[in-house]
Amino acid sequence: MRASLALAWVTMKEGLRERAFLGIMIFAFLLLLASGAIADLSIGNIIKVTQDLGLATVSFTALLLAFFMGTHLMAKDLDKRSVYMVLSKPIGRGHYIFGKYGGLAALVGLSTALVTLFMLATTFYFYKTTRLYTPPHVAWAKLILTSLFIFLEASLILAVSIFFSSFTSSALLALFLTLAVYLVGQSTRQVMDFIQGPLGKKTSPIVKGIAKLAYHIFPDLSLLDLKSAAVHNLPMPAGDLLKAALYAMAYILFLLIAATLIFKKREMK
Amino acid sequence: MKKVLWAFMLSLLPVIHLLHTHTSPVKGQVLPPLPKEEVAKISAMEFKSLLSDYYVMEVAQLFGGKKGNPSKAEIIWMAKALDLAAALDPYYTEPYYFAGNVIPWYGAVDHVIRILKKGLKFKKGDWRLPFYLGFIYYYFKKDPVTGAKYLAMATHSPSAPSYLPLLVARLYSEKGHYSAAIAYLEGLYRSAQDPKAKEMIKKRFQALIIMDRLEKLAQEYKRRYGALPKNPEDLVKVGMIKEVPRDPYGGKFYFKKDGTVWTTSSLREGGVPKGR
Repeated sequence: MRASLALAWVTMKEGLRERAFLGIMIFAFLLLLASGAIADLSIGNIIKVTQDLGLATVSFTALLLAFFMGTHLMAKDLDKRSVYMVLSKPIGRGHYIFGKYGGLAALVGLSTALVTLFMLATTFYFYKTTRLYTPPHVAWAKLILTSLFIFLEASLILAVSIFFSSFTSSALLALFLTLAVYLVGQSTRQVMDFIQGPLGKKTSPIVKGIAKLAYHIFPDLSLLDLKSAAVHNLPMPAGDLLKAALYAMAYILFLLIAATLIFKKREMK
Repeated sequence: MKKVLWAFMLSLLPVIHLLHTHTSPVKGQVLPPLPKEEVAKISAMEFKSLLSDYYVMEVAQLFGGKKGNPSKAEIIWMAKALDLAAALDPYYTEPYYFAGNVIPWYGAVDHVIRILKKGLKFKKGDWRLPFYLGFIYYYFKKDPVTGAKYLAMATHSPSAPSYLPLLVARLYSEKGHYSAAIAYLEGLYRSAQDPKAKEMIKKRFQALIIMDRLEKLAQEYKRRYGALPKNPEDLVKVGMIKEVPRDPYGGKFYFKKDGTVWTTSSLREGGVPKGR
């Protein structure tokens, strides 16, 4: 346990020093600064557009970090052979996986918190300075809750990238596989909705079967997406939120244990 | 060698600048193709509302950045883009607002009705959607019965402003070509969100008031002199008005053969003559 924590701490510090991390953060802040100008191109309630842009930035940053840091840092360990240094110490391979994941999740959490704070600040600024005849309602608490779920989504993606990194030797391959899981995970529910709707009558049973299989295997990321509900201040039933959060956590745990089991079998050359 | 490279590199700057400023882009399709609703929904993933914002912006830019009336193709494109925006983010008000208030004046009325009816399912309790629908049926579809149904729905909505019942009553009591539109625009003006939109409505409101007055004067002229005036100047000649009123859009008012009034600006910025 202590070994995992120490490793997590080291991983987080290592991530903070990465140039990619800095680049992604600067990109996020620039995007948030520009959001007012971009929103001004629209008509009517531009506070809504500002919120959309803000939440999309939070989500985009968290996902970028999860995609790149997850695959990159673990591949670096294996590539630079620093993994031997770690594994030669009395640390189990399971501890290695969980420690690595913990550090990366902390990194993603930290940056999500930072970008969220900045997003709230810019939204507040535009909310106060934009002249609208009927001031729109901004659900601040729901925005924060949405960021929390964005963090959960990124953590899930992170677990997927650790899982793929546990058996592929190339960071690029792990990245592509993770990206594929993300793309499928984002759309399974939508595809299911279409298949069950009027469009489904024309779809062949094979396609339907594949879609159903994908729906049950891949993580359903739409469950963790609260962005639209937050911006439009729609009800968020606590039961559904709790179940979605538990679903994500159980999925993460499953992936990490699977990664440990695979990593234990892996031969280190 | 290094100096030569530097000099060559810097000498490229004016060349790049000249080529950039003197080349016009090869004209592609002016209106970008729009994806199918299902395709857009799946490919936008968790960024659906962002894509929805994008289409509203495109429509606002296309509409706002144009001089003269939008062409038929442009109006159909705008209606489709707004339909897509509403499908991607069905709780977003602006696509309905734009579709309900701007598009029908140029066409695509049935498409707009479809968009608004789809929106009714999501924006329950929002009085504006049935209000737009009611007016579109009343004014553009010349179907006051269906119009009344939606207007009643609007007035019974819990969010309806207190002036709405009076407004709806006026819509149905006033005679004249433009009276209904004026009453409607008054409601729009009061509920408009941002200064840009308010300004737009105000201008149209002012123009319609003048046109309504001219039409009523033309009828008065006919009663007095037995024939409709040929142009607004005839009204000045007989002293019914002091001068020909100015079109806020920069066009010129004229009488059609049936005595109704229209303007060369077609109520659009820039006042480009009709027939464009």
